[in-house]
Amino acid sequence: MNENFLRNLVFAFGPSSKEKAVKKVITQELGKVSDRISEDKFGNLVVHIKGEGPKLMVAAHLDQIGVMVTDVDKNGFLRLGEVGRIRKSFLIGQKLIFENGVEGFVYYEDKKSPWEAKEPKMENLFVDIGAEDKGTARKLVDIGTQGVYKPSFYSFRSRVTAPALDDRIGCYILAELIKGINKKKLAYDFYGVFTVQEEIGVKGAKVSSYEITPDFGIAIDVTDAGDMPETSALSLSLGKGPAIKVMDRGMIASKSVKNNLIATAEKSKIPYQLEVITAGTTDAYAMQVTKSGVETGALSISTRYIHTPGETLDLNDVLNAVKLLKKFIEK
Amino acid sequence: MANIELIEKLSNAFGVSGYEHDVRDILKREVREYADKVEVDVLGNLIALKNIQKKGHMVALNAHMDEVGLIVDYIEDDGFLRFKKVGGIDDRVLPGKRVLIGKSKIPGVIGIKAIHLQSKEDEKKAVPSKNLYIDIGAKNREEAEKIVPLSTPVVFKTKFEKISRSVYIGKAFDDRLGCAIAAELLKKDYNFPLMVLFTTKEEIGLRGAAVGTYKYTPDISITIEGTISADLPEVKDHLKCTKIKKGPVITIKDSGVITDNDLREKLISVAKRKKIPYQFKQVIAGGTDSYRIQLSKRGVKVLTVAVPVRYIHSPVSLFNIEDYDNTLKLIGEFLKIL
Repeated sequence: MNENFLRNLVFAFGPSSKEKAVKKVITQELGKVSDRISEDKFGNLVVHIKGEGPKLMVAAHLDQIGVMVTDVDKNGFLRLGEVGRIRKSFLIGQKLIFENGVEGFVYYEDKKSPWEAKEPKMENLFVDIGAEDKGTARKLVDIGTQGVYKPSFYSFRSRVTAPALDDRIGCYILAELIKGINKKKLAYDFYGVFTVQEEIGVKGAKVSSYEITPDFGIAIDVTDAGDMPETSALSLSLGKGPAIKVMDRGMIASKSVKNNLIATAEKSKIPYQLEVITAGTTDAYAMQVTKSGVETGALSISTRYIHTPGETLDLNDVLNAVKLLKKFIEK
Repeated sequence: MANIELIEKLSNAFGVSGYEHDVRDILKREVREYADKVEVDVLGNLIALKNIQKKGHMVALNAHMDEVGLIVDYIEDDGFLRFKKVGGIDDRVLPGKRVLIGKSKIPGVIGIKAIHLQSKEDEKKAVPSKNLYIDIGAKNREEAEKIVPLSTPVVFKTKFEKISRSVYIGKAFDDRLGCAIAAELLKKDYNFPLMVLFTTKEEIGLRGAAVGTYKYTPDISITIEGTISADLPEVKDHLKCTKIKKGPVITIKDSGVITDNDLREKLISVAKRKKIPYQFKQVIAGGTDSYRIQLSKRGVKVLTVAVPVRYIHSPVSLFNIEDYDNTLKLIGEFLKIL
């Protein structure tokens, strides 16, 4: 496990459309092994490793959910809009960091409920960045400045808790996969795509798969775990293997890819789980309906508390995901 | 300076989503002699091309021709017309309004029981649109059907009018103001290929734009809109979205896109250099054709620039001509640096 790389990915600032710092971390990591990295005109980072066989596109998204400053009032408080599906009740009481390093604390208009926020709405939240008036605040941030949960990284044995594991863990897996590719064994013409703007509508994957037109596609992303107390019935647990997607809100995985992933896991004795979920979707959703259609599946890491600052997962699932994908792309 | 005559013609024109022909005819006449080629595609989008033989990045200017309205879906025995809404309209603005129905523009009124007969409960709530009807003075279904067949589209009957030195009211400023600006900009000279796309069916799901940049795909696209201004007394400052007379509205993010960060910075620097006032859209709401265009093929760099308009999607909207002029100027100056 390359914990330092994962830590760097988590600490890189990267809400949708501002993924530059994340790209830099990945480029530096891959620079050691690959000179085939390019950026397409939409901003996706593409690693093409030529191989004999059908075109395979494996995608993981660079961006994380975040916020955008929409207003600065006369006393220097900021108002926010959401970038991706941020969960308002988890936003209150958090520290944010903005793209230029400015930090702020999120609170709410507490006139109606002074101790606990009831049904918080974005329009009732504000951020205190320590500015005493509008002029000072506007020097620090502007309308449109983006922010994210202030990053942190906690690990205990194989468990990790951090914001933005959605989908830096996917970026980690894809990068590790690329680093381990043995060209002689490669069964596909391989495209690893680190996509932009997934959280605001799976955009990068859509235009990238148009450009590449793969025969097969796989997205690597997180999915909801169901192993917490009194949570909705979901069969996915941490540490029981990567989850091979059967269905989510946006798609039913193509049988060929799904079955091939299952067969590969069985053959190589890699633990796996099957994912059937009705919430959320991934880059695979966009890839599958590109042009005349792409056989597309997805590999997920069961994750607790998605879209909060405490996203938690098990690194054994991550290692097994890399192993499974490696076997998948080899002859 | 604004071509008021064109804005007036466009505002008064009939153009419910899917029935944009009047608007399209006006625009076609307006742009024909300035374009190398004018096409109407399968979904009814009007595409005007200029300098297509020139090298360089293709720029698209686009605006939608359609407006929100109604469509007749049932006729009562006693000749009243029931309807469905086409696009987002607040039910509360419907009762008591004059409308024009279909190609022959049959006048009618959306009726409601007189206040004398309303109960205390009635007064407290809005009548849902499904309980409203249009009265065309017909004596029964047979007579009504002859004048207004089922599925006839309906627009608000609102005449374009100047109400102060710089303020105008009328209908469909969302997005006929954008149409007027795009048409005006087409008339100028450029040294890059330009495509002006007037889309259909925006109000019912950005349908025209979903195909409008497929045959010709630009590198850069500017969607020109009439956008929400809520600078009204009861609205808290951070929820006003935009304010009239504060200049063109530059979208950073709406519910569909984050506009291209680098291009937007260029646009802002042009505004600063040319001393053109501008403002940002400060509530993340609404989506525009930019959403579709951005994801055409390999992706398109998009911007959205708008004239702030009060009371959009209602029978009467209001804008300030200075905002219009500054929007025209800002986009015009921006195109010069591309």
